Amino acid sequence: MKTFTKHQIELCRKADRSTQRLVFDALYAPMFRICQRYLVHTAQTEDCVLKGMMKMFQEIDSFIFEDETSLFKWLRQIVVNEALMELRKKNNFYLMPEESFPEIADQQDILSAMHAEDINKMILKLPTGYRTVLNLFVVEGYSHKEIAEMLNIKESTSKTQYMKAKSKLKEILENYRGEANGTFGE
Amino acid sequence: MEHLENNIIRKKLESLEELPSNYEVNLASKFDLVMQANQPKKKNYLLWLAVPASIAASFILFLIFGQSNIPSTLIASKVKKPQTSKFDNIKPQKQMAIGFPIRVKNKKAISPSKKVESKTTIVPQLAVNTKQENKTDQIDSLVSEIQIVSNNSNQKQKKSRFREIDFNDQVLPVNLASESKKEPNFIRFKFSDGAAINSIQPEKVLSYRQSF
Repeated sequence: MKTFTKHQIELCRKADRSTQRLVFDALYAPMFRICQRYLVHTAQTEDCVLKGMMKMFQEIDSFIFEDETSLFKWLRQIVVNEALMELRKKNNFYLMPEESFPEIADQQDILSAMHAEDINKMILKLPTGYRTVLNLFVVEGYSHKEIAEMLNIKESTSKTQYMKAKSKLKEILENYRGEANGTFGE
Repeated sequence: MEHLENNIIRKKLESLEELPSNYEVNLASKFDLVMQANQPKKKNYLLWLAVPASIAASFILFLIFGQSNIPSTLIASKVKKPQTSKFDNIKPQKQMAIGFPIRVKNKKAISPSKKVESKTTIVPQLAVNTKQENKTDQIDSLVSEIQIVSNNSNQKQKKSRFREIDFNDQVLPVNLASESKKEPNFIRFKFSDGAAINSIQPEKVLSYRQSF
């Protein structure tokens, strides 16, 4: 997680070009990764990150400094919201009725053995609804109630989507296990 | 167990802070885009100020220079009144060989105490052809005669709705004064007993409409 001092943030507020550039360069790559997990497509991801950056520099006067990671967290929230807005334009998150799912077997050992890049690719292969709920629940740490409000769906639908996402991940992991020495996703 | 799985996924994903290997980007150009997008806000602010500033400037200029620069055509007191002579507005019709008299009415302003008197003058609508220019003197004299006659006979005249023709009468020369009256809509023929046609009873008046 990238950190920034209070002095750097003050310089950004005073529109110091070199500090703004430093912040931009430091945050572009992690924000691109976060945004790509939602939108998948590179062009859409770029647009989303740039919109988030614009908002950050425009609204930096309203930013409250708590610690050195607070700017990163703030921008991350902006970028996730931008990505969700983009998804809402093209996707209807009213997806499926609530269903019961069998217990998913423990795959902790497999996940631990996997490379981060492979897990990322695995998540990008999920359908939009599954991927969005999984990202919001697992990575961002939102509750199902919060996710339901964000995506304008029922809480039960959010849970269903999460369970289906996990089930789909299991399938992909089993395929991954089958590929003994091959590189995943290529 | 599920939480442990989720923690592993989260930590692995959050460790990805570098751009993908197959993705190349020019960060300088992207940064310029972001900065350019932030600039127009100031321009809009200036434009917002420009409108009231221009209004104020024009008002101040108006106060400084006053009415001296206002063209005389815009000031009511300086506007030249058009000539109101009776014959100024009458344009000759070039196409017509013969001019027919037209009626010009001068109505006075209506006041509640006085009755409105309408003064009627007959003015011949003259056709000034290039060939007939030498006759203009004669026409002018004719106009003046008509005016004099019409003024004398300007007392209350009942509008005749029809013209009565007696076939027994002798043909009289046309009186200009009588010609100046309004053209009748009907001509009434009066037949004597001897001149009556079989189908027409004596003393019966035959009327026909002159103009349709």
